[in-house]
Amino acid sequence: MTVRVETWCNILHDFPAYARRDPAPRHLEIAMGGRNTDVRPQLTLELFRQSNSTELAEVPIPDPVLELYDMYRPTPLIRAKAFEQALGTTSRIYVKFEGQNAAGSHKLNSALAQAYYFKKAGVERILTGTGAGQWGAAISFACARAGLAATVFMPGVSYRQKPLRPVMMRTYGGEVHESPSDLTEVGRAARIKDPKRIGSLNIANGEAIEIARSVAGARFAVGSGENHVLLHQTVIGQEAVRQMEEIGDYPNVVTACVGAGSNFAGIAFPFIRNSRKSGRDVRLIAAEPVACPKLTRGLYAYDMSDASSATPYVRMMTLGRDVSVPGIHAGGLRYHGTSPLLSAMYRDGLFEARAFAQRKVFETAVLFARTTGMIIAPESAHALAAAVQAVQESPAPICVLANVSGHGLLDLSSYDAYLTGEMDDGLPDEDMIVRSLSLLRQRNEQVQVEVA
Amino acid sequence: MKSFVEQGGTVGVCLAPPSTPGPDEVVVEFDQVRIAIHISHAHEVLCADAVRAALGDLMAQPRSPESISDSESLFLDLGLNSLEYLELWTSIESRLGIRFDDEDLLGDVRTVGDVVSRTLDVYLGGVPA
Repeated sequence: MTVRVETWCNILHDFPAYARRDPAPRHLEIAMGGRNTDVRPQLTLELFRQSNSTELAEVPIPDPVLELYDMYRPTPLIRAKAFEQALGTTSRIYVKFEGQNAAGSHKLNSALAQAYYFKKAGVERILTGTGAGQWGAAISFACARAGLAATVFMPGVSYRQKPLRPVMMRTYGGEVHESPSDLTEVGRAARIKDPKRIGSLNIANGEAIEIARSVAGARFAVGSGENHVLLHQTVIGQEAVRQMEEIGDYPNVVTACVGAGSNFAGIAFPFIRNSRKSGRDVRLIAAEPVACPKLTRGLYAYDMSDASSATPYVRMMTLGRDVSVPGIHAGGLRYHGTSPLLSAMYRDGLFEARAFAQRKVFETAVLFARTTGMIIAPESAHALAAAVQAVQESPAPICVLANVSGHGLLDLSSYDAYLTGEMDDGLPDEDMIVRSLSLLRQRNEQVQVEVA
Repeated sequence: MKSFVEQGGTVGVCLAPPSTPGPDEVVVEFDQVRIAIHISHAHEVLCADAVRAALGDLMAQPRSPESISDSESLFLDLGLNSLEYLELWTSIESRLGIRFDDEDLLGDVRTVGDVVSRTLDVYLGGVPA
C-alpha cells in the first residue's frame, strides 16, 4: 500500500446545516441548575475553527503532524479470509487496523494533532479523562513528543481492569490518577455516591476540567465526541477509501464501535462523502454495548457532557449524565452520550446502530484471534460483531469493512475472564436506565424542549 | 446606507504631514500639495460595529448592536459561555477578515470594550500603513 493521506475530511462542508449552533435555551440551563459563565476557553482558536468551519472540504494536515503520522501511517487494511472461512460465509470481510502504533489505538491520530495545536497556542499542560486508557496513553505520548505535561484521570474500574495502561502512560511521562480521586471537588462528590469507585469518563473528564480551569497554562483536551477530534480521525477513512480502491473492491457495509464517536466518524465520514460522489451505497453501522445503549435506547436531548457542571449543555443521543454503566471490559464505550454531530446525523438516518452483549463480542474477538492471530481491543471487537451480524443477515454475499480501533494486548485479563467463564453479558441495570431517561426527559420537557 | 460620518467616523486633514504617514493616515497629493487624511476613527467604528454585530447575533434574546455598550461584561451581563466566547472571536474574524491568536483571547478580556480594543489592535496590525 502506498497511500499517504495529507488531508482530513471535513464533513461539515458536505452538510453545512450541522455546523449551525444549537445552543441550549437559556431557560433550560437555568432550570437545570444555571449557566456556567466561567468562560476561560479550553479549546484553542484553531481547534475551535476546525470544529465549526464549513469552508474547506479537505483540511490540510500540518506538516509536523504528517511527519508524526508517517511513524505509523498508512495503517493496514487487510482481508480476513480465514475468519470468513471460519464463519462459513462467502462474503468478504476487511478490517482497517488502527492498533499498530506506539500507543496502540486510533486515539493517537487526534492526540498528535491536538498536542501540536495546543503547543502552538502556548499551552504548557494538558489535562484529560480517559475511558479504557487508550486515549490516556495516546495523549501522554503525544504530549511527550510536543514537550507538554500530561495529567490523566482514568475511571477506577478500567484502572484496575487494565493496570498496565497507567504504567504505559507514566512511561511516556504522563501523570495518572484513578478517578474518582480526592484531588478535586468533582471526584470527592463522586466518591460519596460511588463507594466502589467504579467511576466513569463523565467523572474523569469533570475532574480534569476542574483542574484545567484553575491552573495557568493548562487546558482540557478531549479524546472523542468533539468535532475537531472527529475531523482528525477521518485520516482513517480517507486512507480506507483509497485502499479499497487499490484493492478493487468497495464495502456494502462499514462498521465501527461507538464510545463518543470519533472512531466511528473517522471511518464513516469519508465513506459518506465518497458514496455521495460516486453514487455507491454504503450502509454504516455503529456498534455499541448493551451495557451503554445511548444510540439504540437513548434520547436526543440536551444534557451535560461531563460531571463538572462547567461545560455547556449540548443536544445529543444520551442515556442521561446520571446513568451508571456496568463496569464492562470495553471501558472506552461506557460514556453516557454521543458526539452532538453524530447524534444529529443519527437522528436524520445517515447511519444505524446495533447493541451487542459482552460475551457475544468476545466470542467474535476470540474467533478472530484464532484465525488471524490478531488480539483486538474489546471496544474494537464490537465493530467485528456488527460486521459478522451484517454478513449473517444478508441473503447474498456482501463486502464488509470493520474499523478495528486498537489492539487488545493490554486487555488480556479481559480475554482471560471470557475464556475462564467468569465474564457476564454486561447487561445494564434496567431500573437505572429507566430512571435516568425519565429524569432527562423531565428536565427537557419541563422547559418545552422536545425529546426524541 | 449610512455615510462614514453618519456612522460616527471623522476625517481630519493635515496640510503639512510628516514624510512617513501614521497607521491612521492616508496621504494624498493635489497639485504638488501633500495632505494627510486621518481616518483612525473609521477603524474604531468599523471594529466596534463588528464586535457589537457579532455579539448581537450570539445573544439568546436578540439585541440590537446599538444597545450593547462598551462597559457591559461579556459574562455577567451578556451571559456568554466558553463556546460562545470562542464563537465571538471567530465571528469577528470573518466579519473583518482578520485572524486572532490564542494569546489575544487570554488575559484581562472582560467587557465589550476590551474586545473592541483587542480587535482594533489586531485590525490595525493587519492594515497596511
